[in-house]
Amino acid sequence: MPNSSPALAGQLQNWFRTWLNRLPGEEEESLLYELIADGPASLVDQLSPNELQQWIRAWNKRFILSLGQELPRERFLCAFTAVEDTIYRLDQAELGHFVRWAAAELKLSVPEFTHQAATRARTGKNGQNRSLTDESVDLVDLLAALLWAWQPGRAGLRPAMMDSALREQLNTYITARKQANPHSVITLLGGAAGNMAGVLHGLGLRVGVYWTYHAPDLAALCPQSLGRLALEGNKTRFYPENSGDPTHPKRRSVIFSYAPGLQTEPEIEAETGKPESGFKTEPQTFDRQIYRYPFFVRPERGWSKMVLAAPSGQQVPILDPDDRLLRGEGWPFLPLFGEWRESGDTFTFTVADDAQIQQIARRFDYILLSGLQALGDPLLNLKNAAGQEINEPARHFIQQAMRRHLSLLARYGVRLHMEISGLYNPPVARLVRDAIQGSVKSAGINQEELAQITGSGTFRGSPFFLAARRENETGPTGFVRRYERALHLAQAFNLDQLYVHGNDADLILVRGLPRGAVRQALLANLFAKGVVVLALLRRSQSDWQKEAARMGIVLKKDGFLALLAMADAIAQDTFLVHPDDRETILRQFAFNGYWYNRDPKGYSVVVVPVMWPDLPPGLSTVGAGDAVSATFTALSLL
Amino acid sequence: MIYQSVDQTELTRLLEQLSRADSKMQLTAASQLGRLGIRSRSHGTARGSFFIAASPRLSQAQERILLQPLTGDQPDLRREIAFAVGEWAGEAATPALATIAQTDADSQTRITAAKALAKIGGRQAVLTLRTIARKDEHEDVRAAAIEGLGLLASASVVVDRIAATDQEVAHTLQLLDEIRKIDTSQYVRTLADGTLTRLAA
Repeated sequence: MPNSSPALAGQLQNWFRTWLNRLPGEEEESLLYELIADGPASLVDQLSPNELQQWIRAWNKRFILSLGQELPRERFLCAFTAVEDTIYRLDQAELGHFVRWAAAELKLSVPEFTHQAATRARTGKNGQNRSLTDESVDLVDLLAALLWAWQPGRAGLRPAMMDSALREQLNTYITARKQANPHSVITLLGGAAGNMAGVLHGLGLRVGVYWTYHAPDLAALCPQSLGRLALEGNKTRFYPENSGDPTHPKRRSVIFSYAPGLQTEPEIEAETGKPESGFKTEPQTFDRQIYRYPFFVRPERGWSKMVLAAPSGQQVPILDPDDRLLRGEGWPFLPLFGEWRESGDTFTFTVADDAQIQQIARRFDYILLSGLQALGDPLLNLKNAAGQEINEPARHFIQQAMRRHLSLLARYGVRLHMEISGLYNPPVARLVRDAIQGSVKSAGINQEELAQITGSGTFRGSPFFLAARRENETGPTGFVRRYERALHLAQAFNLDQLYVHGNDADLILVRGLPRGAVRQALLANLFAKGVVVLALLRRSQSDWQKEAARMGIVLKKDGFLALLAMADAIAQDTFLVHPDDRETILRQFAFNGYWYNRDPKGYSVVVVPVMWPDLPPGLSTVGAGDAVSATFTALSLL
Repeated sequence: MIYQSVDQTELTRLLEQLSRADSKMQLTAASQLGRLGIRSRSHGTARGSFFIAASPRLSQAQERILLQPLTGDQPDLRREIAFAVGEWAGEAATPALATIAQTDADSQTRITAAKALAKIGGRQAVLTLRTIARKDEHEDVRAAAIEGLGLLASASVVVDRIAATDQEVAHTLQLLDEIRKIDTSQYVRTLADGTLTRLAA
């Protein structure tokens, strides 16, 4: 059983309290002014100025009092994804370093290098004429992916770096930059489970982790008192996190984090004397570009065959003809409880049996799942020359094992929560949905991925797709659209809870819960969203307390307008509300933050305005979504 | 410029509506006056400060019309009027607001009146807010007074360039320090602490 971490216990919570103690009264006045002077009258004028003032005060008070809540003593397990995240913080000078270095490596002039990257960014094609979003094949693609993401309306991608030479080239560069400018590079425990475990551990909760591979480099990034669950023989054991195994492979992501205003033009001008560029673009927001390792890597592996083994003895191979995908160095990622071994020329993964799953269930109250989208991994979807899938049996085996594990855990009373991420196409979404249905009742997702799954052309015609409306999907009315999308997704996955973390307001859908639990979810969310900012600071900066002391919570207009828009939409819904009750419903929702659906099969709605402070420049928000989702789940105990 | 020009015809219409007998129309007019007050002043600018009360934005006759419903028997209307008074009136409205802030049976109305006092400012408003911060039985009213004192003290340091060591300001800081130690409500103690920290910063 994992212990809480005495050295860290409550550290973030204590700091959060100090931070909120500085909440200025001016924030309320300022927000009131912004709402009345600048907010849409159709929404804002439904409440009188005095009511708006009372409304803001009520939320402010609720926020402050939410900090006093007791932290849970339940036990949490975070599974399955952990990677080493190397974050390269790009400012204008570092961007210049990178551009000059990459151009020199390719023996190109800076203008020629940037021109090639701009051309690829414009077309969205990489150096092999495939999608930039799928793979970066050379150094030009690395810059092209950045320039692509910097265009208006775009966001960072997650291309894979399949080529080991490119990965090595980039690693060498990053290592050199870390030596030259230590502030520019930080290495963190990443991956969804890593992010989740990091923040829960920082809060002092009882948290353990489970992941298949645990190389020393990864272990060194884990807090020492974090327990790692391992399945050995017919037992489950806990190990301290600093005990990495050198025979294990590892996976990294190199992340370029950037701030608004970066440009490639100054580098061109420095070389040519004129700011020539055919592709002028710069990031509009703080964001990041993730260059992924496509698989776990340990080059000196001794095996060439992969086998999946069931407790019953059944075996299914995973095929990679001619090492086409794993290229002699890659290891499969399997989001399952189990045990692997190398024996001769064979890698065997034996999935956990019922007794082992029961042992896990006895140790934990909650399991926070991630990485289930690996069912869509290229390895499991390989096709032969005739276009036929060759690993369909292996994929089916994994999906069945996953379903069995989750179903058993749920039956033993473990609450399962999943972070929905990386469901890039309908087949993957279907595979995951079918694996979790009936077992996983709670999920988290960010607003962008929600829009992707329910609104992008890729998903048109699938059960996840919700036909677009004419209304603009930004602003307060856009938030109502987000609610409709969330409702659709929750129904498609048959979830009892769906938590959508957003930039303006968070949205929580719950069904089958009493009002008290709905209200607790709201308070947990207020706390979770703020404390994660501190967690991000703490992991990124050694003097985080000093930085935190300079920050303050901000009451933001967008979040409050989103809540008002949602309250208005529910109040106007003919099927949900009697016309005589509309004014009452609007006020109750706005003041309480939730609308309680009396139909036990229907979803109640919680909307919580986000009160994040403005983040200091250079702070990496990689993994913030995972961290928020985990903290919310842990504190709400939904 | 703190204030922008106001459509006088609209202002007159709203004040006329306020003096009619129909309570629903009075309530609407009071709300619209509150909105108009906010929409016609600049963002982030305090009306009054610790020592200097805000100048009235209405004539004496208009101010009288505005204050009239403050003593009426409808809490909804009293609240909306108190809000509007904070946006439009000057020091002459302070006694009426102070009475409401200390004696109104409805705590929400007392809160709104306290906030209005904090917008108008001046010595009498400060004294009233100090009393409320110490004595009101409802934590939300005490909290509103504390926030109001904080706003006025902050405005004085910024606008009047008064040092936090000034005796009047020092008294208020001392009071906040006392409240953060002894108030029975955790919420009020937290706010007092936060306001002190803010002022110290």
